[in-house]
Amino acid sequence: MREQLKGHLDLLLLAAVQAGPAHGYAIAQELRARSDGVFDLAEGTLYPALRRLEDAGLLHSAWKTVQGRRRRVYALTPRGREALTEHTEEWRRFSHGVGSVLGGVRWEPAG
Amino acid sequence: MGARWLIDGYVRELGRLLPVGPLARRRVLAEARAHLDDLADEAEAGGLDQRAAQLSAVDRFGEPDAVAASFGVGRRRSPVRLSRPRAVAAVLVAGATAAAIALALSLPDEPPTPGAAAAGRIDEAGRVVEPPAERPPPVGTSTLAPSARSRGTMPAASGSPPSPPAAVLVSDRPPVVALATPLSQSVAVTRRGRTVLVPRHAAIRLLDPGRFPELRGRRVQLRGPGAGNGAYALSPDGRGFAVAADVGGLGVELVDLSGMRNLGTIPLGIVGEQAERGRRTWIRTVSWPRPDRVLVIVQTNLPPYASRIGLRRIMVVDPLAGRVVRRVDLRVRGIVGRAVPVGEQTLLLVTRGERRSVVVIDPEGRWSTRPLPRSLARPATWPEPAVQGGRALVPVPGRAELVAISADLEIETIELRGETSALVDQAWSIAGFLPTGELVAVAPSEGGVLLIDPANWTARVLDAGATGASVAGDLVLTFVRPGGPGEAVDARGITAFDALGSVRYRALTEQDVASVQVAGPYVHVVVLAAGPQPWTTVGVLLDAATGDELAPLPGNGVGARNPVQLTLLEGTGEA
Repeated sequence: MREQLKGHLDLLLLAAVQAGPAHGYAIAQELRARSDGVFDLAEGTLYPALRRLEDAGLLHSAWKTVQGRRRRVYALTPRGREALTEHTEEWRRFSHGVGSVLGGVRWEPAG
Repeated sequence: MGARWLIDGYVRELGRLLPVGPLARRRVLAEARAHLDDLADEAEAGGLDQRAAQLSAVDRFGEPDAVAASFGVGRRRSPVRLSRPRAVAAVLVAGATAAAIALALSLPDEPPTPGAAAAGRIDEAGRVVEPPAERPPPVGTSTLAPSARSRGTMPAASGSPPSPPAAVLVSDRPPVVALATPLSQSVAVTRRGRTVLVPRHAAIRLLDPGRFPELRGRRVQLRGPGAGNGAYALSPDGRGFAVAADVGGLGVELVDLSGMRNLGTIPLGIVGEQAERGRRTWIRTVSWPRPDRVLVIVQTNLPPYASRIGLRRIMVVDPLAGRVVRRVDLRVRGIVGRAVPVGEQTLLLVTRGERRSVVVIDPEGRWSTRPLPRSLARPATWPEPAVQGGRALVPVPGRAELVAISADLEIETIELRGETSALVDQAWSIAGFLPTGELVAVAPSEGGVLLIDPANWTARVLDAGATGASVAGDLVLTFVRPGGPGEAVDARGITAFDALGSVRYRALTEQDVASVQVAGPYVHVVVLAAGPQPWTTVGVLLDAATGDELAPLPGNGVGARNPVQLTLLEGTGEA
């Protein structure tokens, strides 16, 4: 599952900060909670991905003190929001396709 | 919180291994330290002692060499390679079926090659001529069914937003084309028989729309589907079919549906995927507004992360001459939806943040854009408009508003009042049109199927308790969608209403109906079967006119979690 998760981490990270700015620990919690524990990855690997997304202009970040601890807080940029929308659309299309195959939708002649 | 020497040591080790500069190292370590402390706090709150909590924290954070290495990998790789969802999707979909229209990546690099040939062509009278002419014939005024230009285009039947096309179900009694959801590329249309495109083989076959046995006749193998998201268009008379293709470059593959012949591919002069350059170009949507004009909207995505939308281009293709005749830059920002034909115009809905606009393109590629009022702002999953005659009707979930685009394409916003209050604050969708011109709308969350008269925007409730509807000729078939596993369902089967609101018949009254798909004279119904498996389903074939149960459909393999959703796409004109 971890290997599969890595392939989609960027999209998931964008989705995790969609509701509002969050720091790395909160993002990891969000991923774990929203996936019912399915997405349980080495949390340190979030940060390179966050940096990549920031470098790509999809996230921006700033230091803030949250609950007495200094943290880097990440938020979606307008471009990130657009990318999220587009990637989500594509992912849904793709997963719908896969789900259909696995779910047995078939259009083969019944006769 | 006492001293956390294990975490201290972890952070030191991570700092030693990080392949980044001092500034970046300081930032990474500060973030890591805060995160590790949070994890340790969480573990201690969960009852672990301090040492165990630290061990738990570093374990969850990951081995320091792996974490450090991931920074190095991330900084050396081209950002576009990190666009994993698309890449994985493309690979997997392509692997799942050769017919898959994956998310094709390519780059417009070379100009179109005028005259580069399709393998065949449709002549000006709509006949197929042999491939490929050395010299393209002159383009003249085509007689390809001008009377059939204003076709109805309808989004998905009630309940859910339209899904991407995959399989197309077609019947000619009455002439309809329907899209089934998932997977990959398939399409079909027919002559006097019926046709279904089987996804896995990317071939067009003639199938009976009742139980889908294959009819005798020629199959049409598609050579190159795989560009974009399965974009395709039917010719104005419904006999020609153009689908996005990628055969050594982007193109439009043409099929003569009346003769079941593949006419070949018209190249767009745009090379295929160039992953090494971190860019990709794909066919976003296709429109066939006039017999001699196919419009192909090509979009380039740019690095980093293939997230920036670069140039969009309208490729104006002459299917009669088999060549690209014009390229027009489409300089609009935002996400572009599927092309929707309205007469000879093509509409694109564009979403950019909270802004919405409509792009109107004429058959020669000239375009203009009209912003929509900000009051219509809504999430990006904007349903495609339904089209009838010269009007495009855009459903706006969550609002009791419609955007009407009249024949002259003037946009006006109309608020529904008074007797239409049932629509207020409900997310509703369009199920289709009745022959009377009335619009069948469904409010799935609260329930209720309504008939709306687009002439005066008055609405009346047809079935207040229904959460789904499909249109079958002059009847509206309503039903109640079942909830999830364990949720109570209201078994009431299907109720057929006429346009006056009278109940014509009820069918399957003891069944929980998951979906209703209309294909010509038949109605395919997915019902939940009783038994230990809450999602077990069986399919039933009904006579649309009478509701008589014609046959069970044991072999259709439809699951209730993912019932096939046939989307009535287009009527081909002649009943």
